[in-house]
Amino acid sequence: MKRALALLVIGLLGVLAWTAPSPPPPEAVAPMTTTTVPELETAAGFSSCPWAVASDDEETYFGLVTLPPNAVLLSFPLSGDVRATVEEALPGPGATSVRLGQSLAQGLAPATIEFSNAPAASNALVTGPARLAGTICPSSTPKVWHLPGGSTEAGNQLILQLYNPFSEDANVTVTAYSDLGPEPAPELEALRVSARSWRSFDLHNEFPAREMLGMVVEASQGNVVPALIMDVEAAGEAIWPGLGQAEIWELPVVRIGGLQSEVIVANDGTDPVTYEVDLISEEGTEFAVATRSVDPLTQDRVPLVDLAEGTFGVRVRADGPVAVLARARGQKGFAVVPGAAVAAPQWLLPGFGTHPDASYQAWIINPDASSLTVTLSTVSASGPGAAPDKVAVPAEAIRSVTVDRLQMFGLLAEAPGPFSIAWSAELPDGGVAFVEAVPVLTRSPAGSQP
Amino acid sequence: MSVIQRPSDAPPTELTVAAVLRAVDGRHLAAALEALAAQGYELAATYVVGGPDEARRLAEERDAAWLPTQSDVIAAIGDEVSHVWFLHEDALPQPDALAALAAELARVDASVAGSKVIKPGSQRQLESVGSATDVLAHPYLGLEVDEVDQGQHDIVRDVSFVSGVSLLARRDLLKGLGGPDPIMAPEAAAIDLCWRARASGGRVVIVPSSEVIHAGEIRDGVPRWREQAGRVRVMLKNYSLLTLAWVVIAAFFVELGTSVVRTFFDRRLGLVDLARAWIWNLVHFPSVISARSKLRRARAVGDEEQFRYQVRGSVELQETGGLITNRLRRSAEDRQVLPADPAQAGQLAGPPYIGALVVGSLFLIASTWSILVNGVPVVGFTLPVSDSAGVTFDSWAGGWNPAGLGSAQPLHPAVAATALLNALLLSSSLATTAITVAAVGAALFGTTRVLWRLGAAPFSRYAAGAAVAAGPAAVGLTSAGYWPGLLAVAAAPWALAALLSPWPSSWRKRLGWGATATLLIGLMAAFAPLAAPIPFLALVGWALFGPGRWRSVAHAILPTILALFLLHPWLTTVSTAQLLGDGVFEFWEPSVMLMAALAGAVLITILIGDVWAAGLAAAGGVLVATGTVLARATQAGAGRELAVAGLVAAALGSGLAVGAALESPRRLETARLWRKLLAWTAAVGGLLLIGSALLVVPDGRIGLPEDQLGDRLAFTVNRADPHGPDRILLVGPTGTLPGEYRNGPGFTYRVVSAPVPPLDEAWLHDPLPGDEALAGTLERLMTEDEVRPGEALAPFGIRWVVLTGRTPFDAAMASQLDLRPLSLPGYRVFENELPSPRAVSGEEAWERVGTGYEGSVTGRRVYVAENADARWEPDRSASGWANEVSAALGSARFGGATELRNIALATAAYAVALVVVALFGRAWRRE
Repeated sequence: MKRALALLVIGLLGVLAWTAPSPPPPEAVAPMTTTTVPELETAAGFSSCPWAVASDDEETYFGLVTLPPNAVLLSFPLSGDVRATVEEALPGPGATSVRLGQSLAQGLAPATIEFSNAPAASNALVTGPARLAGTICPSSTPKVWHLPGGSTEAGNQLILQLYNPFSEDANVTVTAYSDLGPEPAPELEALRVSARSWRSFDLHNEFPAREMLGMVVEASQGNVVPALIMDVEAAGEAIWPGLGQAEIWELPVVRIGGLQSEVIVANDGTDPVTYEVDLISEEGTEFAVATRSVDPLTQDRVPLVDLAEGTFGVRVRADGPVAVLARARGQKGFAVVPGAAVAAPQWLLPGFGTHPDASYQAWIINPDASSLTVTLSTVSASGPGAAPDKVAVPAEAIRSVTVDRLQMFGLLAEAPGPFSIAWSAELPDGGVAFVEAVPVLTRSPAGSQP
Repeated sequence: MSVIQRPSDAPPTELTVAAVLRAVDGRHLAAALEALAAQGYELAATYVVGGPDEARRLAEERDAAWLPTQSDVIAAIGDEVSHVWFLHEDALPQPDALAALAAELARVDASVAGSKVIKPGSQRQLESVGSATDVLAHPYLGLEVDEVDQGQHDIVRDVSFVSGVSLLARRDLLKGLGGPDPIMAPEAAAIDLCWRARASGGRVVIVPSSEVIHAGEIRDGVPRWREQAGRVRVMLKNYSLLTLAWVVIAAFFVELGTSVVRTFFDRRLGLVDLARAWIWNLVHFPSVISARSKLRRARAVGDEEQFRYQVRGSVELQETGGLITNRLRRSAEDRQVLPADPAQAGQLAGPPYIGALVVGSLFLIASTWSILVNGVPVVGFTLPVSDSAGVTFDSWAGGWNPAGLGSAQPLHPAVAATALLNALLLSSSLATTAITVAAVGAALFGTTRVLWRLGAAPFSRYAAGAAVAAGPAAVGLTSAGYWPGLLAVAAAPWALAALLSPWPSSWRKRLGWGATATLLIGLMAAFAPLAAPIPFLALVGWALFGPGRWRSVAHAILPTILALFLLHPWLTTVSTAQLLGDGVFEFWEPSVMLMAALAGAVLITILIGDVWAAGLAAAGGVLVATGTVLARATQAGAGRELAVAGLVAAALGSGLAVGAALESPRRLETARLWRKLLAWTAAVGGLLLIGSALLVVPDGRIGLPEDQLGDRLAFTVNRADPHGPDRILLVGPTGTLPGEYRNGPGFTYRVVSAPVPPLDEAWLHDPLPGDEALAGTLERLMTEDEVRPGEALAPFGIRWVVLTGRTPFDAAMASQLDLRPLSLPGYRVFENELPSPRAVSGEEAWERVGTGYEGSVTGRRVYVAENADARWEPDRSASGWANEVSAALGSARFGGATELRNIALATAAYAVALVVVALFGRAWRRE
C-alpha cells in the first residue's frame, strides 16, 4: 500500500513537473547594424552639423529653433578635442542664428549642437559668392545612412563627409553604387573615424565621371553623421544629409524659378522596387503620373520638367523601402533636398530667415482629404513674432508662402492635422537652397521599431 | 650504534657520578632517595634541587645536599665528579640503572646518556626510549599509544634527545654549557641540553638497559604553553642564524595553523597558548643571546648534525592531521548510534570506510580544483563575501544596505550567514574559496552522515554524497550562478542528519538536540529561506513510506519553526507574495537521460527493495519530484526563492534515492535472482546519476559558470581616483549581470560598487527615488535626447558603464559625447569624463569607508549619492533623490534603522543562545 501510494505521488508530481511550461525564449536583440525602417529625423535635444565652413569667402549660419526655453551649446571638435564652444540662451519658443566666422574662421568646422531641452532643431546654411546651400543638422544616429543623388560628372565636385561628434571611435564601411552598378571601393571599407573628428573624401578621385552615384554608410562600431556636398560648376553648391528609407516620401519643394528638377529614387536594398509618382499641385493631387521600378543598388531619376508647371510638389509611393530626394539645377543655382518620410502636425524650420539678403518661401503639402489651415509663426531670439501667417491648404494640394519678416531666425509651422513642409531660400545675385524641415515627433527608444 | 650489553659484561668504568634530584612537590622524594641508595653503582654525592621545605628536610635526613635552584648545581659539584646524573623526583631508577648508564656512556664515549623510561604498573608501558625531534624541536617519541616494553627498542643508539627523567652527562660539558636551562619546561630543557651537547661535539645516546619507572608524565603540572615556548627557545639557542631565518617563521605558522585547527578539537585555548609562548620568548630573549654566545665558543658541529636525528616534516602538523582523522573515525564508531543490525555495524569501520573517505576527499578536490587554484568565479549570485564581516553585520543589523544606490532595507539572511562564516575565517581573502570548497565537502559528508544514521554502507553513503553535491539539482543551482543555493545544499543534509539523530533521554540533552537542529535548519534556510521545511518533509516521507517513526516527525516540527526566527530581520520586511513570487531563476531543464535513470532507480527500488530501501527511495523520490515541480514553476508565477528551494529539495532527494538504490542489492542477498537483478539495475541507474557528478570535474568549479566579472572589472582598481573606485553601471542581456537586476527598455541593468560587488550587493531593494531617477536617465539616453550620459550619470556616482552583452542600449553608447570608451578585453567599457564620486564636498571627493564616507572636516555640505533617507547623519537634508549632510564631522554615516537594529540584535542573541544550548547539550551527551 505504501509503495503504491509513493508511486502514485511521485508519478503525479513527475507528470506535473514534466508538463510545466518553459518560459518563452528571451526576445532576440534587435540587430544593430542594419535597419529597414527610416530613422525619422525629429526635433530633439542634440544635433550634429557635419559640414560647416567659415573662410574668407564662405560663411555658415547655424539656425537654431526651440519650442521650450533652452540653453544651447555649440561645440567645434577637432582631432578628439573641442577647440571652441558657443553658448546661447533662447526663450521658448525661440530661434537664433550663430555665425561660424564669429567664433572660428579656420575653414571646415563641423559642429555639435546640444540643447538643454527638447524639442529643438538646427540647420546649417552655407553661403558664398553667388551660392547658398543648406541642410538640417541631423539629430538621429542610425547605424546605416543612405546618401543617394551624387554625381561626379565633369564639372561636379562631390565630397563625402563623415563626422564623428561622439566620444567613441567609429568603424565605418562605405558602399557605393552608380549607373555602372555596385562600385567596389576597398579603400572605403573599414574606415576609422576617430572620436570628435571627421574625414572628408573627394569621390571624384574614387569614382570619376559617374552620372549617378549613391552611397551607403554603415557603422559597425560607434556612429558617424555623414553628408554629401556637391558643387556644380556655374550652378552652385548643395549639401544633404544621410537619409533613412521609407515607402512614402513627400517632396514639398522641388522647383523654383527656372530650375530643372528631378526626383531621385534610390534602392540600395536587395529586391527591385516599383514606385509611383504623384503630382501635387495647388489644385490637387494627380496620382501615379509615373510608375517605374528601380533595381537593387541603383537610382532612378524622374525628370519633372515634362510633368508639371507652376507650383507643385511630389509624392513617391513605393512597394519597398527607398530613399528619395529632389535635385534642381539651373542658372539660379543648384539645390538638393531630401523628401519628408512623415507628415506631422508641427514642424520646426530652423535657419528660415537667417541670411539677411535671401528671400524665403515655405512649401506646404496637405496630404489629407480635407483642407487644412497651417499657422506659420516666425521666431527670433526674443520669441515668436506678433502676427503669425495662416495658410489654408486645400485637400491633397500644395501651397507656397513667401514669408518676409525682419529679424527672424526660424519658423514654426502648426496645423490641426499632419502635413509636410520644406522651404527654399534664394539670393538675389544667385544661389538657391532647398531645405527640409524638422517634424516634432515623439521619438521611439533607440533600437525599437517606430 | 652498538648492541646492548648487560652491566656485568661491561668493562670496568672509572666514572665518578653525582646524582641530582629535581624536586617538585616532595611527594616522591623519599622513594627516589631510597632508589638512589639502592643503586649498585656508588654515587659520589647526592643533591636535591628545589622543592618545598619538606624536600630540604628529607635531603638532610638522607645525607643529601639541598640546593635551591638548578643553576647552583654545577657550581656546587666538585671537580672530583666526572659525571652528573639528573633525575626527576618521581623517577624510580632500577638498582642497576646507573651502572648501565655509566657503563654504556663510557663504552661508546658519549657525552649524554639517557635511561629507558617506563610508566608505573605491571604492563611496563613505555614512556620514552630516546626520541627524535622535527626541525621545529617538537619531540617525536616513535611509540604507539600505550606501547608495552618487550625489548623491541633495546639497543644503544644515538638519538636527538633523551628524557630528562634520567639523564647522565659529563660534568665538564655541563660546566662549559652552563648546565640545564633552569627556566625551561622539563621536556624542552632535556631537548635543549642534548642539542647543545651534540653541537659541542658530544654524542647523545639512549641506554635501554638502564630502566627508570616514572610515576608521572614528564609534562605533568607544566602548562602546555611552557613546553611550546621552550621549543622555540631551543631553536633560538641552538640553530645558526641562517637556519633560524626560516625555521622560526615556519614554526610560527605551523603553530598558528595547528592552534586554529585544534581549537576545535583538544586545545580550546590553543591561540592563547601560542601568544603566551611567543611573548614569553620575547621577554626572555636577552638570555638567549648569552646562551648563544656560550654555545658559539663550544660549538664543534653545525646544524646538519642535529638534522641527522630529526624526522622530516612537522610532527605538530602530523599530529593534527591524525587528530582530525581519528575524530572522524571515532565519530563513525560512535556505538551509541550504530544501527541495530550487527551486519551493518561491522561496515562502519575498517578499510571500506577509509577507502570511501579517501575517494570522497579526492572527489572534493577534483570537483573544486579550479576554485582552489583560481578562486571562485564572479558571476550571477556568485559574488565574493565582503572584505569586512563587521561592515556586513552592521548593514544586516539595521545599517545601510549598499546594494544599488543603497537603502535601509535589511540584507538577505544569506549575506549575514556568509559574513558569519567569513568572521570565523578572520575575514580572510580566501574566505569565499574556503566557504565554497567547504560547502561541497559539507554536502558530500553531510549526506554520508544522513545515510549513516539511516544505516547505509560506506560506498552508498559517499556515492549518494556525490549525487547531492554535484548531481543535476545542485548543478542546476550552480550553473545558474546561484552560489547561496550551493551553501543551502551543503547545509540541508546536516539539518536532516540532526533531525535523524536519536531523541535523547534527558531534557537537557533534548534541549541540545533541538538547538542543534534549529541552528542547522536555520543555517540552510538562511541561504534558501523556503527550503526550511525540506528536512522535515524528508522525515515525513521516511515515516510515511519507510520505517521512519512519526514521533521523529513530531520532534522535528518545533526546530523547523524556531529556525525561521533566525531569518530576521529580513523576514519581517518580506511579504509572502514577495517570498513566493519575486525574482527570476533559470528554468531548470535537467538531462532527460539522467532524470530517466533516477526515475527508473526510484521506481525499481520502491517496487522490489526491502522496506528500508523502498521507503528511502520513496522519500527521496517525492522530494525530487516536488523540487522539480517547484524549480519548473516559473510560468506559474514561482519566484527565485521557490525555485531554489525546489532545487535544494531535489538535490537532497536525489541523494536519498541514490543511496537507497545502491544499498538495495546488498539488502536482497537472500532474495530471488530476478529481484537481485532488478536491484542491480536500479543501482546502475543510481550510478549513472553519480557518474554525472563527474561532469563537473573538467571545469573544477562544481558547475559554476566561468568568471564573468572578476577579471573584467579589475581595471577599475587601476583607473580609480585617489578617493577609491566609484560605481559601475552594468548593462546587458538577462543572465549577464551580477545578482538581481532592474529592467530597462530592451535591456537589464544594475549599479554595483567597483571593483567587484560583494555578496552584500547581490539582492536589490524595492525601487526608491534614486532608482527611479536612474531609470528615467537611462530611458532618456535610449531616446537619444540625452547625449551626455556621463554628465547624467555622475550624480549617481557612476564612473564606468560596462556593456555585458548586446542590447539596444549599445546605440545610446555609440552616440554620446562624454563617456570615453576604454580598450579592454572582454566587455565594452566606457569611462565617465566627468568626476563622479559617490560623495563629494565642494571639489573634494570623499572616500568610502564601510557603508559611509569620510573626508575633510569643513563647514561645507557633502553630497552623498545614496537613496534619500532622513537617517543619514550629520545634519542631513534632501538633495533630490540623494542626501546632503554636514562635513563638520568629517564623516557621513547612516544613523541606522532602530527597529530593524533591535530585531537584528534579538536575532543575534537568539542565535548565540541556541549555540550555547547546543554546546551544553553536546557536553552533556559526552558525559
